[in-house]
Amino acid sequence: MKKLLYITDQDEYVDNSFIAPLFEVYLKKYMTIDIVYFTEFKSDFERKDAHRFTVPSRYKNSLLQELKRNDIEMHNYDFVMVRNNIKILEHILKYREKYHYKALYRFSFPKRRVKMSCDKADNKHTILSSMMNHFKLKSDVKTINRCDALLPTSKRMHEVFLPKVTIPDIVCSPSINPQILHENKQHTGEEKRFIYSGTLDKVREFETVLEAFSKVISDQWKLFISTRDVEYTYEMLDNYPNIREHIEVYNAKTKDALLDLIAKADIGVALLPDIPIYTSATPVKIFDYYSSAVPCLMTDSGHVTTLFTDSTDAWFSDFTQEDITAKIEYLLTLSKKEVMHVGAKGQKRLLDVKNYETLAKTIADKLEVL
Amino acid sequence: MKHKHYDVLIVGGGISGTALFYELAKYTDVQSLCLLEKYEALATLNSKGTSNSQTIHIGDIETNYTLEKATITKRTAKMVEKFCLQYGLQDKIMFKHQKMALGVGEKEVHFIENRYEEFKALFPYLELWDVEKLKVLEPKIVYQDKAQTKLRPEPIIAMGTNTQYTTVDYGAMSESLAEQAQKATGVPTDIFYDTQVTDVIQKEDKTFEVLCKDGAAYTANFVVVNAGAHSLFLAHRMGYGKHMGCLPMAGSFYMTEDHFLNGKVYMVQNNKLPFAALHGDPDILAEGKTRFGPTALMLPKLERYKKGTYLDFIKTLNFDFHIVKIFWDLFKDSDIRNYVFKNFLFEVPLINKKLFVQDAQKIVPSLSVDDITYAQGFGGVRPQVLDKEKEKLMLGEASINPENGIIFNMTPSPGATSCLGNAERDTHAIVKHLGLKFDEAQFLKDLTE
Repeated sequence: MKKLLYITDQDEYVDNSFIAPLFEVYLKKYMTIDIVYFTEFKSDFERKDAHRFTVPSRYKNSLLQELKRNDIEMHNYDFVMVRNNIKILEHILKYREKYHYKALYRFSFPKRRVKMSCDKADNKHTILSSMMNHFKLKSDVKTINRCDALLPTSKRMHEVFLPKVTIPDIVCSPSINPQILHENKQHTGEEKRFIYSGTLDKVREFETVLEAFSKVISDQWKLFISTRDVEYTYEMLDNYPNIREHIEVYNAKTKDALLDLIAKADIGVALLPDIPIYTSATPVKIFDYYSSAVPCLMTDSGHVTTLFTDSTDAWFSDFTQEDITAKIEYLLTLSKKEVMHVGAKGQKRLLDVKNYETLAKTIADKLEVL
Repeated sequence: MKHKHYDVLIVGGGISGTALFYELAKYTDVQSLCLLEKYEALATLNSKGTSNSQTIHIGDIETNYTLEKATITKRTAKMVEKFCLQYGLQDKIMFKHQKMALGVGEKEVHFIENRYEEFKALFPYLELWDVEKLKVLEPKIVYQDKAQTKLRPEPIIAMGTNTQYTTVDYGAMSESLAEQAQKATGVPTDIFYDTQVTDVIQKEDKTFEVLCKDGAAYTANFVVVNAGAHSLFLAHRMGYGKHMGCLPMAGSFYMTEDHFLNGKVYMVQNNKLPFAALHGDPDILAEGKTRFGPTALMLPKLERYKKGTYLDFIKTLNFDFHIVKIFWDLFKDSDIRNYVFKNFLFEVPLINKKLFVQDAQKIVPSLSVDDITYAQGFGGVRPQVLDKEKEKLMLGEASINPENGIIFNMTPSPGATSCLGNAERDTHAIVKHLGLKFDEAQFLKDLTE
């Protein structure tokens, strides 16, 4: 069995829907997977178990030396995959010839582009920062092109954000985990319960969604928001006192807690601005909603329309207040049964075309022929 | 001239030296024991209550410990507790306080919540305390103002306990260990004070001659050097441990006049800063006061508040290209550079309090410059070891055992907590080398759970 070392920029306690099922369960059927996490707090290297290692973040730039000090033999790996961090990737590429592994770069999200967008929204963007970003991107592309393969979240993400990366790509998208499907808990309330989970910031323009809800005539609705950005959310909600009593804010700490909360809702909300950082790949929140067979109202963008069909297994809306309001009004007219039916169809659709089991097999096959 | 021969001779009468002295006297059939102490009494340097925060570092609230390390320290920390209970020292030199690791801000809160889940099986008594609980247990860390009307803006959470022994006066414990050692056996158990060891020489018959500054010389079949940074100094003189250097880190404290904290409050530690995370402790030597610290200052001498030892520092640093590389790796990180510079400023009169209070406000947001005073005479030196082969700063303790009848120990934090565990390790080495008997069953019954 071939051996892959996955080096993630996430911390040791990450509770992410992606890494756990794909790397810790499904890919293990095809290859041995070891995972390196980083800790900002613990002082020493730690073996969580035979395949998971935690390394103090101060060793990021001398990772292989630290692994060697702890008896992890790099010669044993056929593949070393680095998630998002170019500095670590450079370090891995430096030793590729010595240890004879194939270097892979996992591009999960265009973080720099998001930061630039945030800076623009905060009026912090300057010509200098724009130039710096341009040169940094150029240098990143050069580094990534030295790898054996790129693993973007979607083909489109590769095309839009790293068009000059010419190495083979293996799409590594978030998917639904067939082993963890939560039952939708039907509530007895008359109202329709919507849920939004995930980050909230200026770039996501959630005000547009709140504005839309505030224009809805019916008051038979509730909106649950689960986010780590609780303070930002409360500040934003202060501007919508007329709908404040309809909205409950949560900060689900674990994936299980989030899926439990989702299961209590009727309709998921994945309304994000129609810009490439959000429309070039299917947002993880959509998979979270459908894990509990909760159907989703999402922005009508090219990417999701290839996956779902409007009013069959999801609902699409333009990212405008008017269109969202109209769609919510429509959803409030549907019966619970109709809503449930759409949720069940959407879940089936994802299980058919985007589940971790098939994704793992595809990735393993592609790595085999690299 | 004095010239006496012993089975085992220990250099250094701090907590580590006296712990070994006790275990050998109490649990082995050693025929003669000697302890040489440089100063006029036991534990006048780093084991003294004024030099450290007197904490039993069990690993439950020390956020930089891995689970593996905490499992080890738990066993040795319990030995300290069992020793004190065995001799009725609870509430005399060992105390129960509330203690907690405090997470401030979203990232640290997330970390503490997860760490609690990871560690609660090893430490079942730990509890997770939210803001409401903390308002009752430790109100000053919750509020932004002294009147306690306004909550601090950042989210906070703590994991802690108020059922455990947390604090020991390690200076007093050193005296107790020596006293109990001498009571435990009828064989010679000599302690010589004001005896500074200058050299140890291995003789042709494989025994060791220990030479002292006052002209005295002792011989022994086995020698253990537990002399802080001077352990490495003596090791180098014998040609051992050349792959190591010593970086003395001095720590200072600030004291409040009033009662500020009900228990120990530790903060989440940044792994890039291996020396010490700032914490707040009720002081057992100055009743009613709260001690904040320690700071971390690189000091070019091996002993704090004692004359000299600058030359010893230069020799023990063992300066070469590898040391330059270690320093380069440390200082190229801006977090470490800023930390070192800031800690230097914590020692500069007029500006030190103002700067220190900014850091301490992470624990008590309402703490002001007027609340604290520099604790003159408090603070010790941690001999942090530099590993020249691996070109890195070693964290925690280090031991050199060439397996020929001599051991050198450097025991910075958590050395005091693990004194009886380290002594157990050395006892095994000594009885094996000298062919002595070790009553391990009784030892384990007395000192372990």
